[in-house]
Amino acid sequence: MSDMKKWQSAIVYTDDSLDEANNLAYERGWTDGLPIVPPTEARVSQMLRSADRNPDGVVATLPPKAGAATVEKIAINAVMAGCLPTYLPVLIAGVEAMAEPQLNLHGMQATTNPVGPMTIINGPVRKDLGMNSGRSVMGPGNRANATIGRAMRLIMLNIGGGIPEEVDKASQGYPGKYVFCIAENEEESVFEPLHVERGFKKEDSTVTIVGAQGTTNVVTACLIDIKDMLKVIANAMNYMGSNNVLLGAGEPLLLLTPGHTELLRKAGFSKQDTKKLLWDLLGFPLSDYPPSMRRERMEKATDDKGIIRPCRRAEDIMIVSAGGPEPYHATFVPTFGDTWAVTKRIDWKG
Amino acid sequence: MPSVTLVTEKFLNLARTVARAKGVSTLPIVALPANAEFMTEEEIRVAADKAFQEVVAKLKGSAPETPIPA
Repeated sequence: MSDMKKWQSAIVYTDDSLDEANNLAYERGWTDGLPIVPPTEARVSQMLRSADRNPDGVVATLPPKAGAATVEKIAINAVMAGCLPTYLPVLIAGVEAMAEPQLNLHGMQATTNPVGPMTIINGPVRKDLGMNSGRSVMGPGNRANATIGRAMRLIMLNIGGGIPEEVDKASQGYPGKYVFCIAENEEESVFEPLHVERGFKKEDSTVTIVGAQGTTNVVTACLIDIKDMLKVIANAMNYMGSNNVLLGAGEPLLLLTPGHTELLRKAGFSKQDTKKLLWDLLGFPLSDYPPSMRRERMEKATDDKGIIRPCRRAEDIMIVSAGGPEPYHATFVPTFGDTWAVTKRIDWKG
Repeated sequence: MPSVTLVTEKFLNLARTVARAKGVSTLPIVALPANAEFMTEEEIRVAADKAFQEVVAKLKGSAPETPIPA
């Protein structure tokens, strides 16, 4: 007999069949369209044992439904996503981050923009959970990367109420709305890790949530000269349809491989130097925009030379190191614009 | 004070979701057409007239809201 805990959540009974459980979950709109792991009492109980938290405790309320993200409900979604119990502390910290007003989760849940949360993990937890920070870091194959990212989406759906079509008005969406979770390659990068840059200790384990609206690969192979490399990267960041440009704000994110960071280091560039050089290369005349697309907020974000950039300051460019060692490809991750990344410490004891 | 909330029709469900979350499930809401930038001036005037009538009716309480089902 399973653990007879008194549950806050309703118990729904189906025939003892994986197919029946999945059909019911899908029909009730509880899934992302993929099969789920049925959140049985036994599985959820096991998930809850990994976090030293009161299951009934409310971690945060998530918009737009103002759903109470209790530890129990987070655990249920974690089971559905296929998470191992050890991943639960990461998700709890992720929910805390998503609920911070500066992220603008409400906007992200309801917009016509394709934006979805990108989860970046730093610190010892990455190794402890066997996360991927290297080759194919954004691709399939790693259970922690895949299921943590998936659970974040299920939490937004089932607790926050971001129901596709009904509330989530993304015109097209993008595949990262299913899963977008990476670990930073702190070991091979020579740049300061994201969480240290944002005020945490290297030995802290953290989760950073970014309002990401897609990825653009930038081929940087054969670009040994740093200025040439950053010129090509800046070209990718300077696209007219970017929310970062249209709002002239936010924190456009750049994923560089350890190889890029090594090239930059050899040329005498720190992470901050790189941001400043990119800033100088970014931007194009506001007058290039069709008049019907120009908005007052863009005028305000334009400098005295009439140039608009995808962010207000060089420091607002986020740089994270991930992927395989070679400096052949970088990834530009534009953001929703009206969103600011949030980093939270994971209650991780190792 | 009597009030009516105006929302773009695409976000009507969002407005109702938030209203219910805030404990005001019978919040009077009038939906306006989306993509006004693609409408002619005449179409906008027609839509505005229609919306005005709805707003007045709801302010008077003569067009009650249907609560959102739980």
